[in-house]
Amino acid sequence: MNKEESGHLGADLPAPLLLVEDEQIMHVRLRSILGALGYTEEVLSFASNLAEAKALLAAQPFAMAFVDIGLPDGNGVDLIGEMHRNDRALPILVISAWSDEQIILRALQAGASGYLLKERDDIEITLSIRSVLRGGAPIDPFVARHILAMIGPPEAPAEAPPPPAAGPPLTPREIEILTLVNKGFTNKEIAELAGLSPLTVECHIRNIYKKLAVRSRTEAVFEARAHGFLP
Amino acid sequence: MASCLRWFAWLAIFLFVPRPAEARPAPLSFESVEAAKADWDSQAPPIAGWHRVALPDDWSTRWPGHDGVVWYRLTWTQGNAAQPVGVAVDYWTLAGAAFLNGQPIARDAQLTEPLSRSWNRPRHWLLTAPALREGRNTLLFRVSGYARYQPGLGPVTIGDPTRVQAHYEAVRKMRRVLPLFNMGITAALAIFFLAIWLLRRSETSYGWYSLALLGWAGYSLNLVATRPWPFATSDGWARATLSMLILFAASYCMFVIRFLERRSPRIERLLWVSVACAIAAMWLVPHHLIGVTRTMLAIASVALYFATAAMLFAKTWRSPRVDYWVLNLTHGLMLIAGAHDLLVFIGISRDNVYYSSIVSQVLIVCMAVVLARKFVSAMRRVEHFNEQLSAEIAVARNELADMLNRAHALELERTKLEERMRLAHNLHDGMGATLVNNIAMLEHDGRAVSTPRFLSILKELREELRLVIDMSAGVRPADQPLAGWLAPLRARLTLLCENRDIRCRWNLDDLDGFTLPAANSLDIIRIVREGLTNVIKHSGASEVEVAVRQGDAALRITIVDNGRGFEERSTGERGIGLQSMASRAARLGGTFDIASAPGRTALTVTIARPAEQ
Repeated sequence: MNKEESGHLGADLPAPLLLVEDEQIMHVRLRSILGALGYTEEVLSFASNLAEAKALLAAQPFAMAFVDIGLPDGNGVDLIGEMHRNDRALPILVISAWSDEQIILRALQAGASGYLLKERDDIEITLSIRSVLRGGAPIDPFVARHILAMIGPPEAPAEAPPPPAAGPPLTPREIEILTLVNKGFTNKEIAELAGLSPLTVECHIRNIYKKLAVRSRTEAVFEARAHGFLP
Repeated sequence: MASCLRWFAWLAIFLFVPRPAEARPAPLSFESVEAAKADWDSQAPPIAGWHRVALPDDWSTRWPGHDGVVWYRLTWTQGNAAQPVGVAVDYWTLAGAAFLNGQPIARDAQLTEPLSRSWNRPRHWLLTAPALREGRNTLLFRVSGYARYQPGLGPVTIGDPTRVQAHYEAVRKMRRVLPLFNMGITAALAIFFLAIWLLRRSETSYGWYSLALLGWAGYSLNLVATRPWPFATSDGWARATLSMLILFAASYCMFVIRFLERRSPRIERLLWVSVACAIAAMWLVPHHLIGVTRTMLAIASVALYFATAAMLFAKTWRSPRVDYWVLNLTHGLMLIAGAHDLLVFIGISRDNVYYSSIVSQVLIVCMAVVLARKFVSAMRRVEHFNEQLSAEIAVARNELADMLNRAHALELERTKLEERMRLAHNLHDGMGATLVNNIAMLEHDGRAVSTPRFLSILKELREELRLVIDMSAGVRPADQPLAGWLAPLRARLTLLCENRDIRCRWNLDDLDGFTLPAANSLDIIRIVREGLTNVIKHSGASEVEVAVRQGDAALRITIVDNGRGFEERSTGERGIGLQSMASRAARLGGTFDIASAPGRTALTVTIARPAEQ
């Protein structure tokens, strides 16, 4: 194995981590991947359902969270939304069993800062997590295509566009980056093409995700109600 | 109908106004009424040859064949010359002049041919002193005329100016106002029906009625005109008037035939040949035969008219249709008026008033009713037709909708079936092939399979499953360009290359907009995936270039790396990968080549370019 893909990233890894996942094999897999990245067993808190996750969240703050969508007692997207409302700076990665872009998009809109696909190889999941730890965001062509379809640019081959995004519009640079992602370019390639640093490109993608998460009016009302500002 | 009744009442008043006053005893009357004949150029009354006559006078009975001038001398005794006296004359035929005690008091413009036409023109004068003398007064009338046109002097009324004036007004109404009115209405209706016919040629009955009205208007002109224009002789007028009467009778006959919705070409041809002959005869007969010709043709025309009326009655008397009965009634009225007029025309009756032009008003009103009814019933038919049509359209629309729904359901069923077939095909081609190959391999050489090899088999199956799922869920449109198919693969594999510090370059520029059938695109994806995965796993290369280029007839996929080359590892996992690539290429009808040496390994798949979509 290459030193880069398994090597420790350094001492300043965000910790502790919350991992909400009901499949035991996925616990093993995540332990192994995160262990390779330098995490020790002590900083990893596993929850198998929503209730356990909420109990853990109530007990202590976390520096980062991994949330599976299909949980035995509820939907991970709701948990992501709740966590995001409580701490906007908390990096949350959604774990998706099969890359259903509708679910991934909903999770991103709920406030997730990235996603992991169970169907991918360990090395690919490792790269995604590393990207998030660097402050970036993993992205695939199909996600880029759906975001482009949502903002409705001419080149988006939109089929069944998701609900229109309620949030600030994307900048031309962001649209350019999404277009290149859709064509299959990696962040590094995009950085070379656009004359940016790879980190800047990742930062742009993260901003795109943040814009998706800017609450729609409905969500704002929901939140206000949750806080008792509205009847 | 109310307005129609008013018309009848109005006409009745005209018809039965007090008759011209010859029947009424006048306080003042002529002591003598005498006539003497003279020639065309006579300037003064003859000395001798005076005969006592009674007015109205037609000299042709007394002097048969006398064409020229006849002087009429009327005398009376005036008690008081200071008392003005009114005198009215109903007509003179054809042209004339009047003198009181030798002084001219009236004169037509043309006293020789072409003669003025005063035969239907009443006049009246107020006679005062000094022209009017105490004692014996003489009124002289110089009348120019032809024996065959009932020449002579009409009734002359003398007496109280107010009474004479009233008499004159009544006669004028009868002889001038009504005919003029009649002719105007007739012409207007003729033009109206002509316009209808011109706009709708199939309504031939309107056309024939219009022609009949034009004929009648032409005939009526004779009652109205006072100048000889446009004819040079009185004979010209006689010929034209009768031609118009013939035209009227024939056209009216045609109208009734069409009105009954009948056609009888032979009778109609006979009719028009007769009409042509009659009109030609009227225009060609010599001067001395005009009289008798005119009489005969007038009788023939009237007979044709009444024959037409009789035909209509015979065909319709059993029908309850109002329009038929209105027509029959007017024909009855016309029968009376026409019989009277015929008697006047040929000189048997002497009152010189033609009723038909007045009764024809009734006819015109009735015709308006009849044709309006025809029009309204046509409109009703159209409206009914519209209702029927919309009902039929509704039925047709429903049938069409049913048919379209059925077609849509069938189409939906077909699409579903196609979708299932495609899913089955994808499963069979991708996962099925991988499973079958690997099962065969495990069965034959089970112990040789290492864990990594087994893992790669499972991963291959996973990737195949991903393709099938994406295709079936519509995540990837089946008709997207080849570059679109390659994009997800490119992103993942390039990321893996970057992770291993392999510089990976893609050359797909050639593929802009290039589209293949989905199955071919999937095979190309599999080839590229296999080839590039091999490079990442086994070659130790630092650079790899993937190119997909389209040539004229072939699509060429090349994967070139600068790795350690091939010979030493041509078996094992990499060998299996190469075998599967070769078999895919073969299935696409292409070739598979490897040129491997340390530092440069080139893998080339060339496939005949499938028809672009």
